[in-house]
Amino acid sequence: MEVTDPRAADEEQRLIQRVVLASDTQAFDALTRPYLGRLRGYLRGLTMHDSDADDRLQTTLIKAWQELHRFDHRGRFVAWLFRIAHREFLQGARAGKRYHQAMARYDGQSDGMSQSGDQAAAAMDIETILGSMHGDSRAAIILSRAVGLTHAEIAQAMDKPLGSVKSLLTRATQEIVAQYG
Amino acid sequence: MTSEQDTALERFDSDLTAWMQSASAAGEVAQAAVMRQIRWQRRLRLMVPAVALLLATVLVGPIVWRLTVAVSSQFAIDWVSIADPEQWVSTLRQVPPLIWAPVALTIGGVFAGFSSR
Repeated sequence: MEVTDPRAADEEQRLIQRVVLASDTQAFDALTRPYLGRLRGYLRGLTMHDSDADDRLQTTLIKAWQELHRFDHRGRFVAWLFRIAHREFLQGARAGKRYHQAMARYDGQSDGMSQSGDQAAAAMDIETILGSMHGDSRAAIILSRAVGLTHAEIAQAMDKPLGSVKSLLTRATQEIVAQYG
Repeated sequence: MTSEQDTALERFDSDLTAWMQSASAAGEVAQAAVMRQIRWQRRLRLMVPAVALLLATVLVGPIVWRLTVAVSSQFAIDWVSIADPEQWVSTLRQVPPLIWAPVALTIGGVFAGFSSR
């Protein structure tokens, strides 16, 4: 169920109420299922590592389950969910044993773990392009073009000023054009 | 934005969308694991108080009952008798049905915990 119309938004609202009031796990399953692919893709984009992305996805969903009663309905649920995902990535990276590797990948310094020989050879490989970007630019461009968040929602999700997000997106766009051009 | 930039971004969007979609299967697996974890957390939340109540009823209930009986009859409390394990069975038999109501509630709580969604 993708929230693109008022009816879908109402349904999402109803599911949130069921989770908050009745701890309904089936409602939570239905609520988060439409976003799983993009959540996992986003975290894969941040970590540039499959198992790290899976770990962060699990902690994100558990945190969402625990904190859904704090969702204030002022913004979209998808933006709130990706904000948790971003926070969980940063907290997980700081707490994990592989902190330096994770942050190096986030900063765009490849350590060779994320790219196979084929990927390195393929100049247009999407992971190669994403991996060459700084983590903030990568996060912003994925949230903008794949998740469909507005600039303001991205700023909230990444906990950054709106102006910084616009700069990050401009820089990321320039890198994309340079790579594909 | 020039047409060259438009073309580059369209190609990037296409590649990015395909890349994100390829992550969906792994997302489903992660969600299944999380849902199992959440259901168990819910069950434990229901079961822990229920088990605590059961233990409290079985362990403390007879003592309280015998103390009540002892106090009510001449205020003479036979601590040796209370502590004697052989006396427990006979003591439990003396417990009126009303006292076993918490036990029934406990069993109900455990059952509810297991059968919760």
